[in-house]
Amino acid sequence: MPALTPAVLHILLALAGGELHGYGILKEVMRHTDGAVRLGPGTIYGTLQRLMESGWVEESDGPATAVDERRRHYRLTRSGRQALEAEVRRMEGLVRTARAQRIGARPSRG
Amino acid sequence: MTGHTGRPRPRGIGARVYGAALFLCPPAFRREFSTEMTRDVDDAAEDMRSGGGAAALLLWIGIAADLAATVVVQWLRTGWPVLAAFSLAGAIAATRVAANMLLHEPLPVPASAHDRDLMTLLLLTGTVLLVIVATIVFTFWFARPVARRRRR
Repeated sequence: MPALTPAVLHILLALAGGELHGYGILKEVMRHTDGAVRLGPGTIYGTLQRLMESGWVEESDGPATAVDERRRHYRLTRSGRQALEAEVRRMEGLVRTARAQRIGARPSRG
Repeated sequence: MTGHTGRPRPRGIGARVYGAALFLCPPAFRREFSTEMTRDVDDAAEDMRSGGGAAALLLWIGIAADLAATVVVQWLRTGWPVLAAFSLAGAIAATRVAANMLLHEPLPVPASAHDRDLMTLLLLTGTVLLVIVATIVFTFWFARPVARRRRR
């Protein structure tokens, strides 16, 4: 499977925590990245459209605690979670390789 | 537009402009997501209100850049630019072939002023017919997702 694009990865990661609406995804991505990544609405909904077409994300009724139930909520499907897990494993492998080359290794104390 | 209270609230001018700008997107995408997108922009602008002028400016620059990219990406996804490019290439090739034929095989009778008028008339008629056909094709194409949604 090819590597996921940053937008896809961020959105899948945001939805891994539970059902969210579009603006919730935006805020969750900002929270994950300490404000470094701010996805625009076009990017979010364009990506959600593709993810729904590929069956990785589906629309949901929203959590029972939803404040505004008229918003459209989205959630990960089983195949979406599998794709995310595969990507995380791929990235872990990359990080291991980088660390073995002493790239990005934490400086040893003492 | 509704807020977190579920009650209607007036939309900011920025969100209204954004909503209007979404008409640049392909109709199917706009119908599917424009309400949510406009609402998100409205909420983001409201959240940013306390951040000051610089933060708001950055937000709107980001939103404008995102919209520009979205318009391009979404139109590319429809396949229309490819179709338009092929049509243009076809039209250019056809014109070139026709021009070559006319250059190498001149009209048997010298073209008079009357012939030139006739050719202009034929050209204009052809253009009008092309416009009519293109309008019909475009209308059917853009009406297609609506018809599909109504059947659902």
